[in-house]
Amino acid sequence: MGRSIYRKAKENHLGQIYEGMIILDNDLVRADWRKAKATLTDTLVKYGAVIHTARRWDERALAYPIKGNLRATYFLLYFELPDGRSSELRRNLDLNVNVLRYLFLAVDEIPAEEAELASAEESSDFELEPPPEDGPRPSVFDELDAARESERERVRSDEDGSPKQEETASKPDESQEEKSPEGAAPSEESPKAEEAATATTSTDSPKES
Amino acid sequence: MALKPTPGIGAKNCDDPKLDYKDLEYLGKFLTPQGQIVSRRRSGFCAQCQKELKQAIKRARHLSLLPFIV
Repeated sequence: MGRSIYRKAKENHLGQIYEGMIILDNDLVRADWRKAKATLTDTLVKYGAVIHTARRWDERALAYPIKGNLRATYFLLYFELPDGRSSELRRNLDLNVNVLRYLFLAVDEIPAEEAELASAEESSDFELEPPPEDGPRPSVFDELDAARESERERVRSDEDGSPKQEETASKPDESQEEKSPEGAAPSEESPKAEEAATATTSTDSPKES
Repeated sequence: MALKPTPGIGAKNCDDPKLDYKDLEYLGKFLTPQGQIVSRRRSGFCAQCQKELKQAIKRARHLSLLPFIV
């Protein structure tokens, strides 16, 4: 099995087809979609990619926020990339602020309907609706932030408070020591107490007998 | 006593093309209300198809198309 994979990779040395899904920041799309698309495709071409199709797949709310964005535009493209350039391309995309996330998959062939959809977008009649604003932040995130902040404060207070606790723990001993001389005063009256104790024992002893 | 086979959610045949991470409507059927991937017992998939399902859902999660947890 390993050999067959190796042979297949060797056969596809010059042109493995990839499916790429790139999540773009909506601010970039809102400014100028065509320009954003051109810059992204140019980036791929710079690393030797041959782009077959490129189109906007969707604009949607994210399932979870990425880099503070609640909505984003998904850019789908099929391209060929020479061997060994993938890591460089990935590094470039990692450093790109407008690319929120990406996924590249090796595929056997380009879907048939993809060419039509991409060509429809490239026509001059195509007009992209500007993506909506992110809208108000869900209250769930505020609650999570508040919980996180309280946790941090607790940790901070624990770190700062640990020596204080030692001090406070040592204080009672001192206070006890301070009090002990005062407490010694009743001990001077101890003969009375001893007398009382002996009296009780003396009263008890005949009963026992 | 043999266990009665459960019907399962999916109607996928093993000969069908691979599951696509972009087919969110279909993938959503195999998530619990908490966002977990259902077991083979509930999905009704064979082992290979269940692996494909897992891979597709994880790809969709990476792209924030599906949630990790609800």
